[in-house]
Amino acid sequence: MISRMRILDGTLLALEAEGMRPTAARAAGWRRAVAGCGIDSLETLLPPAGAGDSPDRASPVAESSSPPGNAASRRSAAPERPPSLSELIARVLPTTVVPSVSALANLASGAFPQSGWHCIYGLGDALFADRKTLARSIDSLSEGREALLAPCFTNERGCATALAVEWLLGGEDRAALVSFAGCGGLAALEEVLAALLVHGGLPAADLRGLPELTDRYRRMGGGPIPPAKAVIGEAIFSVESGIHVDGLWKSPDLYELFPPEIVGRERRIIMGKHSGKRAVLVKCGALGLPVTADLAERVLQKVKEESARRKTSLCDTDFIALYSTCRAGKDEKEEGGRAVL
Amino acid sequence: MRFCKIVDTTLRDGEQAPGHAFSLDDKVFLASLLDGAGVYQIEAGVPAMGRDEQDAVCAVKDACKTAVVSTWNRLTEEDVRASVACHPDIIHLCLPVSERHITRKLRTTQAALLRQFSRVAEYAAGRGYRVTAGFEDASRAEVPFLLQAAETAKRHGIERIRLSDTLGMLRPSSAALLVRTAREVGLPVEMHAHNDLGMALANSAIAVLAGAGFIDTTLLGIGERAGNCGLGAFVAACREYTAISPLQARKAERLALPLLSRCRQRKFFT
Repeated sequence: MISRMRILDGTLLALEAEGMRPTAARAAGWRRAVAGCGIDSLETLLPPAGAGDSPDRASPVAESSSPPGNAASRRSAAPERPPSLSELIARVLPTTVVPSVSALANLASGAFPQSGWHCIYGLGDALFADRKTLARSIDSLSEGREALLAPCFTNERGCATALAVEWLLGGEDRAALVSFAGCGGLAALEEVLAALLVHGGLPAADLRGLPELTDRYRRMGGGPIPPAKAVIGEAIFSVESGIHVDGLWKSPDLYELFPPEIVGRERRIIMGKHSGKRAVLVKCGALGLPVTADLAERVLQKVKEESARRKTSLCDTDFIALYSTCRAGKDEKEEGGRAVL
Repeated sequence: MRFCKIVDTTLRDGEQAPGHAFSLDDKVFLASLLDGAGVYQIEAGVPAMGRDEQDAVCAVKDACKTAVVSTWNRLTEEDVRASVACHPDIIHLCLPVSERHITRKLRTTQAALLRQFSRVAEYAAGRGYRVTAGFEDASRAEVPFLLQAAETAKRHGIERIRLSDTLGMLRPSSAALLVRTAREVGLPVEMHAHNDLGMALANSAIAVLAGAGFIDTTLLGIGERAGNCGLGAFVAACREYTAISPLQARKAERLALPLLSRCRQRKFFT
């Protein structure tokens, strides 16, 4: 069982590297919120004291329980440029920067420490490397040592999340260093957690707090989250296409990897060019609009025409207006021209 | 040396993302960008949707200098007839292969689905078209049925099978396994990845390493939910495996950005 899998959250370090050191209160709030995911083995790393430019703020790194150890070394002189993410990580746990798999070969055998936690930062191209060679190199470097590897895969080839997930699920007692929304070019915390949930790695995880984490991340100065961002984007539970709406209506797991509620969200049906009749029926139901099959058919035609004309989808207000037009038109026919609002 | 061709589905799966509704001119514009960037195939749309869509597909076909144009079809003769009206280069037939999609969505059986598949494939091939098949929800298919469907495809002269990770649930090890399994039948394999777990690019890359000769992309990764594998990002990460230069792909995405971001207005999602 993979019960001793550990995930190190480097979000605060990544923000710091981008020149955004959150206030102590926000950092503490972040840490609490991350702890609320119900995963014992998920821990937020705090920026080392003195790393940033606000010496008045005591960073409680010392209180942090293992794994980081005591590598947080105070620099006497303020650095000329802000420290990079790998430098910041190196101050909270021993770190070897390995930009690519080929650079692994250049490391002396036994390059890893004898014991304790050890971060390998980089290896963004590991997916493209021959797996056996990769495994052999890591084995030879860690031979005879008890150091616990906590790789921090970088995302320059877009594979950081996948590498972290494969690594964590690939053996026992594994650890990885990640960051929220992939901040700083690392594996994305929320994607790794969702993937572990889907692939059975973290049965106890509670991801309903992800919207709160997203909010906190924004308030700490984290970059904008694209609407289609996996797991946390605001558009990912919106569906328009007829075939998907119909499928979701028949059985949500046909088109949803997990119910939106699992990550603290809800599903939305968007009306547009690709809508089907089912979507009209479901939408009318949700908005409390009475509808017959015949009316639904005409509303659907209108929805398609209007969305093609506007070259985009329709919001609920637009939809209600179209519905009213169609209904009025019908009533006109049936009731001799008397329009009904 | 592994190598893959790009099948771009911005105009079909990309447009299915809420907020997008491309006009004929939009489709022609995006198709020209893709054609200019050097993608092998453009999935231009779903002719069964109606006359406007058929006109758009025809216009896309006229606009493409090198890319081949395909149309997406459900597994019915009616859909294929609508496609034939557009004279595409390739007719793509989509069929779900997971038990739950077959029984709960189509409300049919595996055997009945394969009979229908044979019939419609014969129908499309009989009209002289190149035919490809898309296995929807392939990630959750039972392997024996997946192989049976692939064998059926092969028997009917279908030239390639697309493995759709419809829900974006794969991770690289399972994606590689799926591609290797499907390749046993001997047909070229195409990977269609979704980004629900942030792994569309990685799954596509590993698919190439596992022998998939075709990778599905969209401009800027637009698509249902968290989107598809992004053309620019994929080509940049896998430059040694494609004929498209990252620069060309980036340029196409830059030029497409105003059109594609127009539809990403907040009001639909909040």
